[in-house]
Amino acid sequence: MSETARFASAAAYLPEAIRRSALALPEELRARGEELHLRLGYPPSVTIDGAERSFHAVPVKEADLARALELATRSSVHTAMDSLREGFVTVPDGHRIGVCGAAAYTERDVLSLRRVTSVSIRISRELRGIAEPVFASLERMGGAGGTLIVSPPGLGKTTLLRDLVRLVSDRGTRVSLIDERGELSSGMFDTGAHTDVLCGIPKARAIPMLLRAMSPQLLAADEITARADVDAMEQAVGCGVGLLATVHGRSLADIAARPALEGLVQKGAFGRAVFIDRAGKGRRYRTEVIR
Amino acid sequence: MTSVRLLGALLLVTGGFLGGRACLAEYRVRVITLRALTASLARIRAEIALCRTPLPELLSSEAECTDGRVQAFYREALRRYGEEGRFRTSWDGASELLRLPSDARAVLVSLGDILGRYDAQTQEDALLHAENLLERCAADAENDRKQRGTLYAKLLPGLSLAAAILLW
Repeated sequence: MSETARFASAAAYLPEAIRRSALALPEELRARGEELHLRLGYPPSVTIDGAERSFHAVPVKEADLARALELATRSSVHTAMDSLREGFVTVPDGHRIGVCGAAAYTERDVLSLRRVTSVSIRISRELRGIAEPVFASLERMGGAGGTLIVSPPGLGKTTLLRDLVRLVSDRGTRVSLIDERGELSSGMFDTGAHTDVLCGIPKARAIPMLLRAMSPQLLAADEITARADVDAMEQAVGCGVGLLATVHGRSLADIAARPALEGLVQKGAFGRAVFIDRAGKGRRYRTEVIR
Repeated sequence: MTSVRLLGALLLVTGGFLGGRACLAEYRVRVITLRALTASLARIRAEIALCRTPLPELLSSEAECTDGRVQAFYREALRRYGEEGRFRTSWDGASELLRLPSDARAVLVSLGDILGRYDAQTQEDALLHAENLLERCAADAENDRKQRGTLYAKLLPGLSLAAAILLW
């Protein structure tokens, strides 16, 4: 699928009038679009090369946000309730739709979003071959197992992880991919010939399932954040399985500052880190050894 | 002249008889439709409870496994949803095809405000409530069929016969 086609497939989740304006953007801008934003009371905008620009004069109304949510859930909020409580919905093309607003609480947990005030559509990308230089570099350092992909949000961690998994898998390594949000595979991305994908299950529950059922050589997961995820990963390391994961951050110091990750690093689960930086309109990848 | 009169009387009596039968049949179809719709909503409730199935898929599966007016309703709702992508208006618009009594129609329309917009439990509760109300509507429709349907089925041929005699 071309970049403009991916933009169009993401714009399909916008209300009709706003969608028409988005699709009327010049082709070059549509190809570089990263995110589409709807914020109550403000004109819709698109993120291009890290900067937002408006593309529709009329401010977003509550009905527009409700319409976007209806399109994202196929008029079936109940199918996405669990992920909505986490603040997002993943749609079939792999785009992630983030939702913000006023939450309704029970005594213990978020019940739902009572009033939606922002919707953000992150356009998924499949940049096939983008990970080849990183993969070659990791091969020289001993393989992709034990690698953390580190960057701030929106720089392409998921895209890089997906392509790395494909490259590792196509060279014969048995990979188990945990696709908690349905962004990594979504049934249309190539994740490699030897990859087993477990979709829609939290990492902490998915890892023991995969260890028992699929005997992976490499376990790949996106965005390690929770303590429970790290605990499950420690269990995988104990079984001799290599890890490939992404995490938010900018530097080794950021990783070291996270108590949850520290244990994994000390156990030797991650020996290398790939950092992603913005370089003009593209990205620069930097591989470092974690000591 | 007599044969023309005879023909006219025959047509009047036959018309009355057929009108009476049609009236009875409409009452019967209304009962069947209400019961089939209630059973269909129960299946939708179970699907939402157990599988969290999206509504367009439920419309599609119900269009496959029902018949008559209920099937026409689901097919039309699915067609409209395919065009508009709006569940509530598709549901409301298609519900006209069911030709339900006003109380049953109101139940269905209010259900359209809830389906797909809230969590599974809220929808299950709304569906169960709608099923109970529709069951009551079906019981009322059954009584109507027995009383009014039978009355019309006898009254219309009787009236047409009386009219034929009077006009002879």
